[in-house]
Amino acid sequence: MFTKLSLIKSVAGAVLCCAAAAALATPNIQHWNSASGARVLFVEDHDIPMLDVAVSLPAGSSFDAADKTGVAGLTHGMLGLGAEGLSEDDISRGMADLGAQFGGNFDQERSGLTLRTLSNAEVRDKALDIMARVLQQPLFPEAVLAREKTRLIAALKESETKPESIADRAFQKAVFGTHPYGYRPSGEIASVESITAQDLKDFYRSHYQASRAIVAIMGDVSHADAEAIAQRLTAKLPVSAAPAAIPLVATRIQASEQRISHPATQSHILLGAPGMARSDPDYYALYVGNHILGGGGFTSRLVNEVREKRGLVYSVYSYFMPLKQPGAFQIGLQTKKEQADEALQLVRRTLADFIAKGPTDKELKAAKQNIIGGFPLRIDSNRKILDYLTLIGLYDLPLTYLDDFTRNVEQVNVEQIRAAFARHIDPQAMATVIVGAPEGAAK
Amino acid sequence: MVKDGVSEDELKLVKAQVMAAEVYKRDSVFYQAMQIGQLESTGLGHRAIPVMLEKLQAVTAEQVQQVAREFLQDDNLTVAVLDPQPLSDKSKHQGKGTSHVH
Repeated sequence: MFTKLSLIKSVAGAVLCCAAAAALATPNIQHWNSASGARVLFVEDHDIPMLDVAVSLPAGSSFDAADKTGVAGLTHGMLGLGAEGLSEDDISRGMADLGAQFGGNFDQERSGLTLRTLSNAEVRDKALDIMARVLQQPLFPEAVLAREKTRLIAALKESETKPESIADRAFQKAVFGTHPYGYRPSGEIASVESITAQDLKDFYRSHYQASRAIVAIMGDVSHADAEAIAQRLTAKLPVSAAPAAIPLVATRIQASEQRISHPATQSHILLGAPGMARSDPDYYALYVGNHILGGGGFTSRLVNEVREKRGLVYSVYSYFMPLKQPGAFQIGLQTKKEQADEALQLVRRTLADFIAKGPTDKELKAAKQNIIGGFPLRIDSNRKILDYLTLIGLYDLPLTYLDDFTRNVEQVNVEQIRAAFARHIDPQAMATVIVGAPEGAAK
Repeated sequence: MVKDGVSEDELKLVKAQVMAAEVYKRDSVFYQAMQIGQLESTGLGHRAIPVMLEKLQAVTAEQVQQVAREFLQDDNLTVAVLDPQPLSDKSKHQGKGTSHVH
């Protein structure tokens, strides 16, 4: 398969290509709608003889019904565990024999399957055949479902003993209330217990339509091949009415504080509120501002105040989770129980100060340099580009998203950051959760 | 593996996966630097990559079994067991602590 020379040459070639690509240009994205109705984003690149494909659908946990949480997650999880003419062993063994990597991703919003395979036509064809059947003719076998439910329930029970999971659940509830963004992505135990194969079939039928699918293709195939691949992976998806829209997130919440006891020696602290949607005009101001506040690691204000100056934590961070609708803005830290209140007060002061005054010019300049200088590393592999293709498709971002990214960051100014934070984050209206709270501490 | 060895099918599968993985690894600039650095630091040199792949293709089931016999011996075995402790009663864990270290 490899001669000595060709491999060295191609390894060197790949190094050169990527370094050059990183310095010069963002990938050229081709885009079309497949005859099936699926939206396709494709980057043709023949440097490495391999192909990455991702098919994603808006069918994540926020599409669950309130009394049937876990259905979306199990539907996704069961896709690779039995399809027309293929047992779960046939699927995993079939991919393994080809040296192909078959995976998935699932979150509040999306359900996705990913394939990485060698691009030579014979191998690629076999791998795509399995993927096509898994995606379009899943069987949801009863016996496998029973086993998966047992496994999932065991995992959920285990997570209920961990302070970070307990904190996360309480946080999501406090921020989103009964909104589907607050559901436990894998479902509640009582609900998972009641899920039947018919529930999964119904969910699949109503949420996996071709017209909602995003197909991302990256790598060593021609445009014509990519067209055929997208069609092959989506033409037989179910045809049905679009599911009901997800209700709107209430962006302003009441201040709340929950102290949950736990025998762990560290307190796990989360605070936050609904943050911003992907489409928010303040996206870049909040993104760059958060880099300065708590997203940029060692250079961030929170790390500087809480860790560097006072040694209260090992890590403290903040982030925005931009979804279709406003996902959470979250600050998180762990500290010794006795120091929990001190650390929390300091975090609140740091946040309030940042919101009131915004960043300094110096901080903004450093953050932009860091983000812009690091940008080439975000698109330095086929896998990373594939993820961006999916992101652009799922969130209707402009095809020039990657081309425009550094300019959008460059244009952010101090006043925009201050105004954007003031618009989105009210320090007086945030949810706080402390798991492993100090003994006997009053609010 | 020591007693029965591995089948031709199993061997074929592993070889296919390793060869594919070698292609996939080229998707990472970081990995390429690491691989070159590792090979240079162990004295093999980065030109050894294709040689390694050729030799890997030539590995036989007998060789695998031979290596298994040589290395997979009970005397070399380390086993760690984690006994989960009840969340609400931390004192138990202190009383029995040492007995869990085998």
